[in-house]
Amino acid sequence: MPAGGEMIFEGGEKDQYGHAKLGGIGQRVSAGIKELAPRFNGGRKIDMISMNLGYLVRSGAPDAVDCIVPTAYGNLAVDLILRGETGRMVALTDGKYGSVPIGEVVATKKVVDVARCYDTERYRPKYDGLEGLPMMVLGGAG
Amino acid sequence: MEMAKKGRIGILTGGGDVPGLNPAIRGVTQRALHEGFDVVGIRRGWAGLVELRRDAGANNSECVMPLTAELVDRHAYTGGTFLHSSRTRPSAVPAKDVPEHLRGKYTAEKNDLTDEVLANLEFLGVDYLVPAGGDDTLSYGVELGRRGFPVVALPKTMDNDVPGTDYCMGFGTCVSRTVQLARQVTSSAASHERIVVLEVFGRYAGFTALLPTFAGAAQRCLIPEYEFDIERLAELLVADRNAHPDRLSV
Repeated sequence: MPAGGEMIFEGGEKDQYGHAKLGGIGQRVSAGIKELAPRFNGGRKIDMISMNLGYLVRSGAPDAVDCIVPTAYGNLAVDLILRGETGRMVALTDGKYGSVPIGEVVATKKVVDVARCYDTERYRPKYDGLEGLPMMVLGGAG
Repeated sequence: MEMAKKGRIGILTGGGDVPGLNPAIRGVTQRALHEGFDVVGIRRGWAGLVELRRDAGANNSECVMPLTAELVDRHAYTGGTFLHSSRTRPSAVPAKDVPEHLRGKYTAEKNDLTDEVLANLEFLGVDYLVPAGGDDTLSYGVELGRRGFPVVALPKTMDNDVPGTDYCMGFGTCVSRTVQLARQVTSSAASHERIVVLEVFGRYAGFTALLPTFAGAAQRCLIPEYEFDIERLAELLVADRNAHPDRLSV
């Protein structure tokens, strides 16, 4: 989020879980860059494209990982039921299928580990120190 | 001779739709049928269990449907969820969303309809519930578990932010699509030597920006977890654009 700023919301309506709809940060950032760009470009303007990818990203058929993992998760759920192990959530941990107590869902918040994963000087991911990280590298269980 | 069933499993998909839900429904159903269970799909997330009517002869086709191997296989590699979804939270249903047949009993501004959910699960003969959802949907699964109902959850969110697992269903396709779309827009960006800003879903966690950038969708990314300086960002993107062979940056 912008320094000294706050999350940007579209409208005020909240869902039953208390979440307001977020959106609009892209336009704000684009406008800010357009205004500032000449300062770093010898006084010359730079044109912008600002797009919200929105539902284009979540619609359509699953890719290979989202065919394999959900199928495995579904089978793992039945394994747990067969063993009488309910109150669980199926999970991938360090590349291996397993399960955790379902209470983990509400026990913590999973966010990016900024110190480990995000270069705050260059505003990009960190690309070093990957050995030992799980497949989704920067998106581990935390 | 029909073998005695091991029990009935109910599956539901709640919250935002993602690619991967239909394969998950297939994964549960086909294995469960093979193991001797029967399986029902609860429609529209938790709403199906809130709105079900236990009256004899009631039409509950909007709330529940039997699942067969053929049906789940037909949908398996399509996007979204053929059971449909909702953001209903049974423990906090606003008065205006209480089903009509329950309005005489639940009159508060926000109503906990968990007793109805449990009664409906019993009415349906469901012995085990498999909800697929993000932290909101699954938080209600936690509540049902506390009330003694057997639940096994499947983590789903394109944000990849359900705690306790490295991977949530839907995240991989989200990254794939973001990379694909970012690459696609570079032809327009290059043609006019532009800087591109792409906004992606992601409520409080930045994985949906971070991982596509890692995979090459962009030069820079911003995440909710870190406060950025717009001047620093502008300086970086202008430098990226001027150094790029096609004079663009993302």
